[in-house]
Amino acid sequence: MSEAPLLRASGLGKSYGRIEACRDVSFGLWPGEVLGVVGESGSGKTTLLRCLAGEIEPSSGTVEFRDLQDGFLDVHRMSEARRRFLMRTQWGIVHQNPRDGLRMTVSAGANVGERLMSAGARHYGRIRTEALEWLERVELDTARIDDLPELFSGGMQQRLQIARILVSKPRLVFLDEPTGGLDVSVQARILDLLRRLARDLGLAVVIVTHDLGVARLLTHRLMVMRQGRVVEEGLTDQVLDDPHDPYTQLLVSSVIGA
Amino acid sequence: MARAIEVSGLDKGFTLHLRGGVHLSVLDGFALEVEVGECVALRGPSGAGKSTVLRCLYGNYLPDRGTVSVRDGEAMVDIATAGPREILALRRSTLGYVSQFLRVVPRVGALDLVMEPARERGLDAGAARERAVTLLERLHIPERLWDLPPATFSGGEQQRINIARGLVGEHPILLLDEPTASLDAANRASVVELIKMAKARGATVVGIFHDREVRDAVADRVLDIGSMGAAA
Amino acid sequence: MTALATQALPSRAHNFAYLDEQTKRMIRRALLKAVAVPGHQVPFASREMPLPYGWGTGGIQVTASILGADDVLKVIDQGADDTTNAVNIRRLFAKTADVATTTRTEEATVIQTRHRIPETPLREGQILVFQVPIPEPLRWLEPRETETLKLHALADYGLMQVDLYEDIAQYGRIAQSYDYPIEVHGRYVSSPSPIPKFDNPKLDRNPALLLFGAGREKRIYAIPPYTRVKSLDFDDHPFTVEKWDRPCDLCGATDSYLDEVVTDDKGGRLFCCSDTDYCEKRRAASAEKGMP
Repeated sequence: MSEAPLLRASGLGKSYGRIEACRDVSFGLWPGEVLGVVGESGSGKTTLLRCLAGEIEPSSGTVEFRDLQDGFLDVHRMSEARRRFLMRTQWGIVHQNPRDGLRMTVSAGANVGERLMSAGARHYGRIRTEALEWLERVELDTARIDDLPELFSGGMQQRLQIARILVSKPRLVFLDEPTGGLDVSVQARILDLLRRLARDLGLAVVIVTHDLGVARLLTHRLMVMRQGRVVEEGLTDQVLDDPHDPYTQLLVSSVIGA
Repeated sequence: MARAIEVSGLDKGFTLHLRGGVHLSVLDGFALEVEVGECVALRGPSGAGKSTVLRCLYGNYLPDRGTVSVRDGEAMVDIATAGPREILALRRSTLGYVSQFLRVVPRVGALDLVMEPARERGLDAGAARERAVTLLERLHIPERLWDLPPATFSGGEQQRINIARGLVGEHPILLLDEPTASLDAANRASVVELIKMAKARGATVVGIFHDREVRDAVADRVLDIGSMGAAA
Repeated sequence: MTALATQALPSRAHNFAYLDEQTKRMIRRALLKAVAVPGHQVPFASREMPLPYGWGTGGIQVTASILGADDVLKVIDQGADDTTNAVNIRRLFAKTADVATTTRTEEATVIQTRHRIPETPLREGQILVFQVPIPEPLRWLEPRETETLKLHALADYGLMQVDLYEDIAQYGRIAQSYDYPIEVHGRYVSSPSPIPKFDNPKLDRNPALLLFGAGREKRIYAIPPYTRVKSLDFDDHPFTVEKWDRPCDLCGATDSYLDEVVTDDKGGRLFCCSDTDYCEKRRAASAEKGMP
């Protein structure tokens, strides 16, 4: 319990002019934990995710990441070189639209092998072997390693995205509506895959979703956002079964299967 | 004898903001003490707060007031004030729960689902599988169903999967919410056996048993909960 | 052709070597920066030249900036001194710089080239000026200039390696046969210009100074003498050069880059050295020895 968190947000906020997209968000995330951020559109959850993942710079507050060697690093104060390096090694972001997270012009194998090659891998055979292993891990047909991503279905593209970032063995993964846009039947398998991978690899995960059903099945802790603020947070099943905030109660009662 | 569970001054109510803020008080000053290895049955009319007690013990409901302490090794931990990480750790190591609803990831096979809590406790896949298989066999779930997702099972079969998930981790404290509600006599008997086996290895049990026979078979003590949750 | 004497009627309408002195200074500053950071693309204010983009304006501007009255200039295009482009560029400098010109590689002090490196080894003191169409090796992989600038600055070249991986996955080998990407001085990934990969090994630790000019893209870069240049590859798919199964039909060379020339419409063809000077010298040498 005295172990330091892997990710720490303090007083995080982002404004666009007078519009406060998100405000005063603070939390810690430990290895092996899955944190859900739920809210309706406009709640600020995607803005929050992008601040956390280093994609956009916050207007206030800090995001700190605990590096294995150097302790807590302020994600937005570090050099761009360092941040980019972090984002391709110890972090991963799975985008809502797979096209935002994949290179559509190169094959599945190249997509999965890219992080290895960026890190200096120079043996084609070994890169390919590792790509095959990861395709298998995410339950994609290994015979399709040389296919272009556009030949894959939405669910398969999503799996490919996951394989692409996990190949560098990140410690922290951000998921932005990972099952949005997928058929319901496909969603279920992706959810299970994510859960097992998070457990087996000891990943810390931040998942943004508007789907309370997904949150219940996948997350340990939950933060409910409304109009840029966190209105309730705690254990997922507690927040969903015993909601205290009026907005949370509204959300939970409105959703089938929450 | 050491205490496994100590609840005192537990108030739990619900403020329904969608109903104009009406407040429902379920538990008022509830208290409970359970020794290690004891099996206590909660009894009372519907709506009296029996499930609420179990849920407070599991950290699923947040108490308004009072302490809810459970034994974690040598120390007692107050669930009412513990943080989410602590409660999650306790659920992995100490608290097992059988609920009335089977809420699981869809399209995952029954065997995998039952193995899950054992994996969470740190068992490797092989050992978890062994335990899961043993439980499923005892609960008379035929092998042909093991790879099927339970969503298509009957109510009784789903309940037995639930029970298997609750017991596979062999937690020191078990919280059972109507474990035999949809089961036939043969399966009820199996569940009784499993509870007795858990007790034999030293588990503490707090349960709600609608079936009198089951209650009589496993409970060391019965606690009556009146309409306002005060212990009888 | 032997070395020409100075032209009879030098142009008086132009400054020496066509460009004004201020422009030459600007380009020389860019060249100094380029030499100081091998393989790094330095922007320069590319001028209007008397021929359009795509015809070697970058190379011409570099040559114009470094040419001195005592220099001897050779200009080749795809290895040949006698194509239209080579002839015209040579004539431009002969007119405006009144400088000696030659077709002999070993006699030249400055060689401007399009898409080949001469077969005759270069020596210290010589300068080879390359005409470059697209100086950015990552351009086809990453169209955003803002992004490629960052990738170079951060030495983030995974993308280039991905492209080579993709070649092997699709074709069984790295398919790039010209403009094959290189790593200069262990740091910058550069485009060697559209020379055949056959010529890439000549870049490594070459005693001459290698200068690259891209007029349309407005970039200059350089490889100083004796710099390590490595062609990108994989450990298990190492860089290889083209091979022919026959020698030059004209001079018998087995170590030069051969062009395939269609001789009739009945399928007849001959293979001959792309480097006309090299081929000629070999033929002259064997004629002297009385060989067939």
